[in-house]
Amino acid sequence: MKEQINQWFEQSAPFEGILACGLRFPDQSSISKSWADGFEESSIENALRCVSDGFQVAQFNRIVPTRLRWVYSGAFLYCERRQDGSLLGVFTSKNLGSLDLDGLERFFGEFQTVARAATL
Amino acid sequence: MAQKRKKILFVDDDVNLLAILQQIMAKFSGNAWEVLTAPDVSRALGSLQEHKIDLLVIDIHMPLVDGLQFLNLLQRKYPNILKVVLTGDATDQNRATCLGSGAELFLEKPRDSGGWQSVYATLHELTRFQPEEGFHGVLRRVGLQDVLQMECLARNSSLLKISAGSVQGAVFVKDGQIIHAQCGNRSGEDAFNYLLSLSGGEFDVKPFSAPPTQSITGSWEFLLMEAARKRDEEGGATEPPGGTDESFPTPPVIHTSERNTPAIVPVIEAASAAEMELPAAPRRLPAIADTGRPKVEEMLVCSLQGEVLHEYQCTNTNGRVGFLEFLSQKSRQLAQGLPIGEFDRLEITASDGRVVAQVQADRGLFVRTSRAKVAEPDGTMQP
Repeated sequence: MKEQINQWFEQSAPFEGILACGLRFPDQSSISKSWADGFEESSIENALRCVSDGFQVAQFNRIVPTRLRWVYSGAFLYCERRQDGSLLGVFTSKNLGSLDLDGLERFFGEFQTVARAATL
Repeated sequence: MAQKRKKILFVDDDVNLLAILQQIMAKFSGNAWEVLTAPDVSRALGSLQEHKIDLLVIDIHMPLVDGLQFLNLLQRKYPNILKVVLTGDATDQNRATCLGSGAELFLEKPRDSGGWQSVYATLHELTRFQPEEGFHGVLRRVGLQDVLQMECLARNSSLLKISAGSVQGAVFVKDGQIIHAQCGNRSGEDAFNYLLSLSGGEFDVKPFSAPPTQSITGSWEFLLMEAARKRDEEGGATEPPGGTDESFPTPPVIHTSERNTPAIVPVIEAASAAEMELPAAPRRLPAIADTGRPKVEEMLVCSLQGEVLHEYQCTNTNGRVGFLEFLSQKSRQLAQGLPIGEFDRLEITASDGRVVAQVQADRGLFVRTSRAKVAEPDGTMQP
């Protein structure tokens, strides 16, 4: 399953407004891609670890998130987690006029469904 | 020029483990680490005073002051220090609690010798990310009990001046022992218990000056425990210190709106809920089904010191303030090394509604909304 998600991630196409993205697996390994300066792999990995902590602490506070959006002055970070514990984080521009929201939804939709058919 | 060695402090009541860690961590680091150890919180605080520690690694289960209490204490005095929990009791609950109390990482003690290399690698990676110096605006709770515990553990001598409305009192700490307390006509343990039962107020830590008398001789640990027990049993202070003036106001309770309540540090002017500007909702995303207008289910506003300024239908104020504390730290950690600017808020889309959690320069805000059920044209409610 990890390989399939990995493969999907490697082959996934960017959409307008995406700055960088990363995948964190249940075994705590991660991979990332970036299309903007300043998004180094180690920093994205650190961010995904923080996001993973965020999901856990939210659940501990009886908040069951389907999506997190971290709002910073320079970017959004959208995050979703699958039931198997894999986590996808996507950094986007804050300019909603140039952000392809449909593309973002499609990206998360694919993330949620990839490799699921193989487990059914 | 030789690179400065990083100072890593391990705190664990297992002295055999500490001896092993001192050897192997120094070896794994190629001697780039100076590994310090402390078998209890008291000696850990001594090390913190003596050295500039780059990373603190804490066990959870320790006698007297456990790792979680230590994390909460560190929030006040050393908020910027990197803290990691390393425990053999790695439950989900412990993990979430420790992360919510300021730990950057929560690691399980390895069961085999090979795992310690992995622990070292993880800790080493963390030491590459140093919090900003002179950081302002981290939300952290400060309680009088916490401060007293810190002063005693650190074996300080100080005078804590306490005020809450027209109640004035003082607690004298000498060489880490509580030796006197006074409040109005009360003195000794009576005054001490009264002062610790106050809900809210201000206190100031002053240099020690000798009290008029030494009225308390018991151990500080017992005193704090007794004060907490009395507070829980008797539900906070109800009798004015003089005992004769019936017009003396009861100590202020923080939970109501539109009151300028004295906070532990600067007084925050309370705003009414109507003045609160909630962040604009993001553009609706196609995947989210629209079942109705949002309804505010719960709201909490707190000062940067964790004092609740307003709450509405909030049944777990402690939990919400803790969540905001966690967020104020984690959001900064997340952004390290990334060109994304300052943190504004976290928006959580849940199955039954939405949460917005924001940490501003002077306050924290937590709002939970649900989707209000909308009536169908025939009068029945949508599911």
